[in-house]
Amino acid sequence: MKLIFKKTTHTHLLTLLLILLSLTVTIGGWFFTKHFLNYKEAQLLLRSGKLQVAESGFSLRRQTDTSSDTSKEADLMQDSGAFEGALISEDLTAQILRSWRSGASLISHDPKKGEMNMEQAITAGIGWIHNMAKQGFLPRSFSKNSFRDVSAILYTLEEKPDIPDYLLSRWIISYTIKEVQITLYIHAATGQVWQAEILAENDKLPEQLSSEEEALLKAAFPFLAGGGCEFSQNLQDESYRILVSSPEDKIVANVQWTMFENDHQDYTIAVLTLNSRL
Amino acid sequence: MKLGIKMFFSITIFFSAAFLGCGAILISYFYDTAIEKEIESTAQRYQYNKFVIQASLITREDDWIKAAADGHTSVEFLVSDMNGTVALYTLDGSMLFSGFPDKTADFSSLLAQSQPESSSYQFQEMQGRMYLLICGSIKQNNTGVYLITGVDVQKILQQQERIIQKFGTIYAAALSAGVVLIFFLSALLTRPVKLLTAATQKIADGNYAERVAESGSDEVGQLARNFNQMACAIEEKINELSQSAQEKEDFAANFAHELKTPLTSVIGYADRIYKKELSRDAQKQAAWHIWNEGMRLEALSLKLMDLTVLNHRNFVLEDIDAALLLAELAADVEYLMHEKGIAFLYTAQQAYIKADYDLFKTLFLNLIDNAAKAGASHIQVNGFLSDGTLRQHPGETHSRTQPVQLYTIQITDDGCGIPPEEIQRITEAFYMVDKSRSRKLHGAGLGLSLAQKIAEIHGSRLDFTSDGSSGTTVTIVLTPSVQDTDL
Repeated sequence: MKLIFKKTTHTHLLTLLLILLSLTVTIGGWFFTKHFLNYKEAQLLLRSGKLQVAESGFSLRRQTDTSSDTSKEADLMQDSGAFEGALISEDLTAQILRSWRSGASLISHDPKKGEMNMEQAITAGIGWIHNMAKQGFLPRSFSKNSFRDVSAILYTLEEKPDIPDYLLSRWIISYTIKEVQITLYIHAATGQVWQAEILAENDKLPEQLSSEEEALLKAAFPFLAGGGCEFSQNLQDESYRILVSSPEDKIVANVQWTMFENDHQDYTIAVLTLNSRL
Repeated sequence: MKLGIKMFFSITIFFSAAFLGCGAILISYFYDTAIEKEIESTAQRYQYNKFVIQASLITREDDWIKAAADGHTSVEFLVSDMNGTVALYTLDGSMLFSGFPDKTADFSSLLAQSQPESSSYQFQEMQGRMYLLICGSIKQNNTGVYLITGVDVQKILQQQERIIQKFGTIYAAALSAGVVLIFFLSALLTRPVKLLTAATQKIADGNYAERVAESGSDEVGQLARNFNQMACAIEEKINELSQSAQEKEDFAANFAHELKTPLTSVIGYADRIYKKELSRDAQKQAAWHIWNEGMRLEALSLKLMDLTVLNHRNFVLEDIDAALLLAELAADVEYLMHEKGIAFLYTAQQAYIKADYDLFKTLFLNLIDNAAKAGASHIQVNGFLSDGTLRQHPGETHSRTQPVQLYTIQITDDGCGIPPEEIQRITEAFYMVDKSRSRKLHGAGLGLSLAQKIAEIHGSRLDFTSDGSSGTTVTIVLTPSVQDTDL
């Protein structure tokens, strides 16, 4: 009898313990989970560290590992002296242009080894404008302008094709001078202008800009010298356009014109583009 | 503790822990990812803003920052082109501009971490909202600034809080539904076990006929089937034991009774001779009674000995010609029958049977003797081959029978017969239909018991047929030898 009583008490005690454990896990577990998540949140918000320019943009580093940062960053710095652009083949140029036109998303980044820095890019862009102005495709007054209103961003592709990373970057630099806006796409490794967009009121641009397309393209993209020139007919409006090709015929340049009116003022947009024929 | 309770609480604990664990991991992962993405997005904004500043440093006069710090010029034209909330500081730490809601916010630690061409990030709360700040110094020639770009991440924190609340609601709902489901599931799973437990309890209480319902082909169904088989075996064994115990009890009681009757007579007559002066005739009469009862006791002891021997010996059956056997046995009893005035006839078809000669003779004589004691005037013995069926494997539960020829011996008399209600018991030891007549004829009630035992040794049994008034027929069915069946 005593044994049975002991056994029953023991069973009841075990049942009670199991019920308590169950309640602890179900209710206490919820509060613990909530506390854990809040703790994780607090820990995340206490986070701080360095940002590092990786191949595909920025990556994070913890607060502790700062010793090697400066040396690495120093490697990425470019001196502000003259930039000697890399020489790349026409074939490679065509491949880079094709990847640029693939529609891949862009990310901005600091210049890396082998790429021109912002000052060099702005200087190269100004040189291009001076040259175009001297040849009469831009107002002559631009040939001596120092350009104060400039914005510049270095972009690369987020998804990399099978091309060395430093060859994919481009500087997009916008110069605004006397209500003429010129945006240049400068290949960061060669320093060459591979695309130019000119937006201005019609009366601010010289006549020569639109009348001599072949000369315009050859002046804009001097590295195409030695290549051919051809006419292409647009079957819809029966208009012609001029295509200037590279010596190996792997790259082709053309200009597109857009005209619009705003506030009773006529505007022209000229887009000088290089495209791959691969 | 009941199995159902154990299952219920164990599954509830496991379910709860798994749900909370998985939820916490998912929410934590989501939050981590959201913060990482926000840092990346802010870094892009910072980079853009940095380029804007850098372009201005390159293209403007070197002293424009100094002029802005002195309040001579504004930096609003720069800030308007930037992304996110920004603050600009000179390299000596003076604020040029701050777009943050708290103009007095302390960014000194962030500025201290920033080195040339290196940016750092941290989270900082301003006026109840959390900001992710990225700071770096931008230098060009001999001048430069600190740029802080910030993004309000309060929405991520609020989203995290909303997710936790939502998860809490889902957890409560899932737990409520889960508890009900687990309860019914536990009850469903343990129900067969409960039924089995109740059945075992009833069997333990002596109700051996209790069985459980057999449903399904799973382990529980198999357990129920096995349990029922076990219960059947137990019931059979218990019945056998009960019957055996009853038989032993009856045997002991009958044996005592059978001993008591002759001994009472022996003691009584011996006492009479000893104590009284008797005439020679009276002495002879008393001595005859003592001799008579002594004979009964001797017969009783011999039969008991035979029964004991039969129970403990293994007999080897031989192929014997049934016709020859019956002829010899008939020759033995014909004279005695004639002396008693009983007409004895027999016919026997030739066939070989498996039998022990001496035992079969005992069986035969007992049956003839029993017929004679029943007051028969005619006894007919017939031995013949007949068609029948034979169980192929006697040990098998499911009988498989095949048609065979059997050898049947029938002993028919025209005696007083056996009442039908007594037929079941006449082969029990010491059982006598008419005790007084039987004792008068030195019967001990063991003859038919002995005969039944011998029949069993021969793989057969005694089958009595009687209407209780006009004689009895005893049938023994034997298996012929292989050589006969081949014939």
